[in-house]
Amino acid sequence: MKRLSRRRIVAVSFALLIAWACAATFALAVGSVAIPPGNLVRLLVRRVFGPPAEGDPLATILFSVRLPRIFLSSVVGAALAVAGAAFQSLLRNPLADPFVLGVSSGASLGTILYSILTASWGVAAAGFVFGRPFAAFVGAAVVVAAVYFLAGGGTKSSEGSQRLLLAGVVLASFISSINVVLLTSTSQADLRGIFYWLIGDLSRPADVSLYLVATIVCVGFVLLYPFSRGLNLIAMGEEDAMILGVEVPKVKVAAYLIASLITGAVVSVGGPIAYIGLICPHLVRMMFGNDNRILFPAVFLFGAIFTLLADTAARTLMAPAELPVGVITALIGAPLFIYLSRRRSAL
Amino acid sequence: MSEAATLILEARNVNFSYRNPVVCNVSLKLVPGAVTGIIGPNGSGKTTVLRLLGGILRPASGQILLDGGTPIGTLARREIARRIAVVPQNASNGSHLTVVEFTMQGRSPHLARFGFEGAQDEEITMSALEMTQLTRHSETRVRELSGGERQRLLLARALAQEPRILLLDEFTANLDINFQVELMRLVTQLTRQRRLSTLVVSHEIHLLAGFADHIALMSAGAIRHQGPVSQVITRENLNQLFGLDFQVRPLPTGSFEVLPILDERSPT
Repeated sequence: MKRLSRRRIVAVSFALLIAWACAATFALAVGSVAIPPGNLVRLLVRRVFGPPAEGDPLATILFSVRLPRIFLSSVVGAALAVAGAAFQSLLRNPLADPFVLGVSSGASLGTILYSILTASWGVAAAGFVFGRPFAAFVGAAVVVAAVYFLAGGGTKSSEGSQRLLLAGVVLASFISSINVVLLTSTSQADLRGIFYWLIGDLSRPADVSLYLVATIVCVGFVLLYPFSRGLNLIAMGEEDAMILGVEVPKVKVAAYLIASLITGAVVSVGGPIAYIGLICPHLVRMMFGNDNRILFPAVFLFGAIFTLLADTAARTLMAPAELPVGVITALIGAPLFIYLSRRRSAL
Repeated sequence: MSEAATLILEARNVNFSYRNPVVCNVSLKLVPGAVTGIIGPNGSGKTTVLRLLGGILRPASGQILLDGGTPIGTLARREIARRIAVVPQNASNGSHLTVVEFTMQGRSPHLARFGFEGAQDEEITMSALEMTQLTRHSETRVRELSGGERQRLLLARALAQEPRILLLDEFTANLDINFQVELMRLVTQLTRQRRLSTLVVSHEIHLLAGFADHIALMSAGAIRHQGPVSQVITRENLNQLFGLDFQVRPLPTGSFEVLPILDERSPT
């Protein structure tokens, strides 16, 4: 038997961090304007050590367009992937994911309502940076609660867990329709952009500080990690977890809230990108096993890599035109969802 | 030794209800080195008593006391899990785990908050597997085990908790008689060796009459009779409990053989 150790977790995280750096370098170089490796290195070195390269168009593309987008997609991917892993343990269902459960739609509803209200009241949205992610968090948390109660609160049996998933899917499509109605009825101009955002899009410059979202996601992860062992046992069954010494209600509420919070934060900037929380935990489990103590950090980094590459594909496959990243993830995730639901694999 | 020092887990005038009362005024003591059995028909509240004793449910009134004084409700779940191991009736998830991974879960209440299982935890896990004769299956997936092996696995996980109190809920249900006897023999043997206070809830009267030291007979949420097997397992008591006629025969070993009389031709 190979016992899990702190050293193994650090080694896996370090390896994934290097993989992320490679993916990020690749993503910096490719695009509608290709930047040759030599130039890339020169620009990066000069950025770090030398005077700023004013007026160099390549430098502008690199540092004002691609670099923020790489960080944005990484943060969004990390958050959705780890939220998915947490929901899967909580609901004892490998198909649970923020998108499938309707949490992402709830977060987008919160975001849209916030935007409409602040616009109609003439409040400067930028003056209150927490507003948008907070509204998204409230939307996400309300949907989690609604899904839970619609399904009769029952997650004890596997049937209850299936009902919960079904309630999520139904609620997600219902809320998505409300979102479209809300957006169409407002007089806001940039409809095309907003509809892209509804599919999950990382191309628009975020009007919420990237740092704020990144901070929420990282703090959320740090808060979630101590519950990883308790969530391992909750995945066995709530009574088993209780018998083995887990304060089940406390862990459940905390994990639901944290997962909703980080989902809300990233949806408020990237939209409800589909299936990242389904694909990434599944692949990471195949590599490193089921233990959340290694799964959470690994899926956090893997989610960043995966989404970064998916977004790179979204902006290069049809260059100079761009696809929303949600299209790429849905193209991969939907078949995987069907495969997993047919196999009915355990966590 | 005073009673309080030997007494490990005690229910004192415990009541519990969902909508209707399920457990009425139950008092029960578990003592080290002895197997206590609760027998009763379906719906008599025996599983609820076990869950109350394990701290899974909180009594509406009355007390569950540990070590002759500490109310169990004042302890953190982790503290309870270090002392009391419950083998639940319903199968848990985790069929994808290996036998050793599943058993290792029992070490959980002993680990530090950010702790990982160490060499000592592995040693305790392996010895739990040895006691339950699962060593050769240690790398087998749980889903590949037979029914009897699965029950032994649940017992192994409970033993890995290094408890002083062992609560078994319908532990031998749905098994062939030879597996039932094998499991009860194992439980009795472990109870004696490790001075465990063991509670077995079951409706297999013949098994408990054969293996338990003390018996409580329950119906409609209340304990009707309790005490040593010889005093409790009588034709009258069983007839009262199940509405059937029984043949009760003492064995030379000190235990009892109980058989329901199933002759359809005789008038009841």
